[in-house]
Amino acid sequence: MMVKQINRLAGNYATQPSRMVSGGIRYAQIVPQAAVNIPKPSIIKIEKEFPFDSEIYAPSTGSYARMKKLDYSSFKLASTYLFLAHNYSQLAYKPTTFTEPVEDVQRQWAGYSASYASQYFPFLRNSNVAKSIAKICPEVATESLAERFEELKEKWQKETSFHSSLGEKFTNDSYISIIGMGVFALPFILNDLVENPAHWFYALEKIVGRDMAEGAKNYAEARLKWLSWGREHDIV
Amino acid sequence: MTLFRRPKRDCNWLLADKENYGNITPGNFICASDSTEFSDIKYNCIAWAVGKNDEFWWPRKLGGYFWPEGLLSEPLNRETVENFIKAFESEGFQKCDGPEFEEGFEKIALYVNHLEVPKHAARSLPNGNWTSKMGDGEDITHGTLEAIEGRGCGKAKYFLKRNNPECKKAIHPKT
Repeated sequence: MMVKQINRLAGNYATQPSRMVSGGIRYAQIVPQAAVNIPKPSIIKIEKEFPFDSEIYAPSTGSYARMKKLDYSSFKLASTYLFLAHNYSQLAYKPTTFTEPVEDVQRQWAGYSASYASQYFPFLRNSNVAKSIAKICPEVATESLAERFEELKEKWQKETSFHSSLGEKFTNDSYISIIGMGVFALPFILNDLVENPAHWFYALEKIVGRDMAEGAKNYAEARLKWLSWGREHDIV
Repeated sequence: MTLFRRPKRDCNWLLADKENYGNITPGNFICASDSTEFSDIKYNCIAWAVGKNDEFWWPRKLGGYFWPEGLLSEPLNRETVENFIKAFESEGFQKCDGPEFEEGFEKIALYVNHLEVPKHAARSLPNGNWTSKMGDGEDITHGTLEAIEGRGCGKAKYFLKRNNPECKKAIHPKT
């Protein structure tokens, strides 16, 4: 089912038949060249010039997309496919080159991830994200994403826990990658927030698109507000 | 689920992190507070510099973090010295020339990186030593500002002071 979804959504993007890899988990494989086949801006309505060069890399296949001042539509499309490739094919994408403020990139990534995922996958609009993902693809939902989240989280904490600067904490590569997981990261972040205090508010705001703890003057208050929101939506 | 905890009163991580804290030695600082899971994160060095341990001060408009009303929220890693100085001024500090002990005053040292972006702040203690909250970790007491300079905190470059009658005599027991 997952492979069919990708094929349907990818449209012209060629995909190979599913294959078996270690552990018996089924993956779809995005052909590297297809993943960089970004539609020409001429056939897409140009909304706004994308103001900087960026590069997205999937080391497991060697595929990457390099976007040089594309328009927003192209960027959104490319982001969507790479987002799907990451979450449904286990290609570990990683934004690698930013020549403009990282914060802007984070916002774009998080926003596109969330909006496109919910647009293409209606189940993401339902209340319980984690259970819905698990229902459709239990391997991806429960193991791979969880492992990836834990790996990124530990790396982020190791690299930034000695900093007081929120700039250092929030622009760390691993933190950006967690934001890049989009809505799929929400259950992991919120459940982590239950167990461990950490600076998740920025990632949550970028993924959800709103600051649910707006006005909270201290950590404890914001944590309670985000957890309440998570419980209201059955994510925690 | 893995818990990210450090043992209480364990500042060994500072000594081990030569990349970011190259100047720290066992003889130039002491651990000054417990590192518990929750208290680590509810305040930071900027709040600690103005004497608060229940707020996390940073110029960011985001629930959970505090910045004095009326002051700018700034882009990440493009925070400005001017904004931090205004924040300290809101707590009664005024700019001064240097970190030298002055009777009747407590001082703040603002650390910046090579791009002049604020990274850390330390506050003088009545005995002339300095106190710092180290990231998510412990509060430490250090005899000199240079002790924590480096890649992690940057360099102490800007100084402020405010009246504090308790600051009467420089002792510097750890220098």
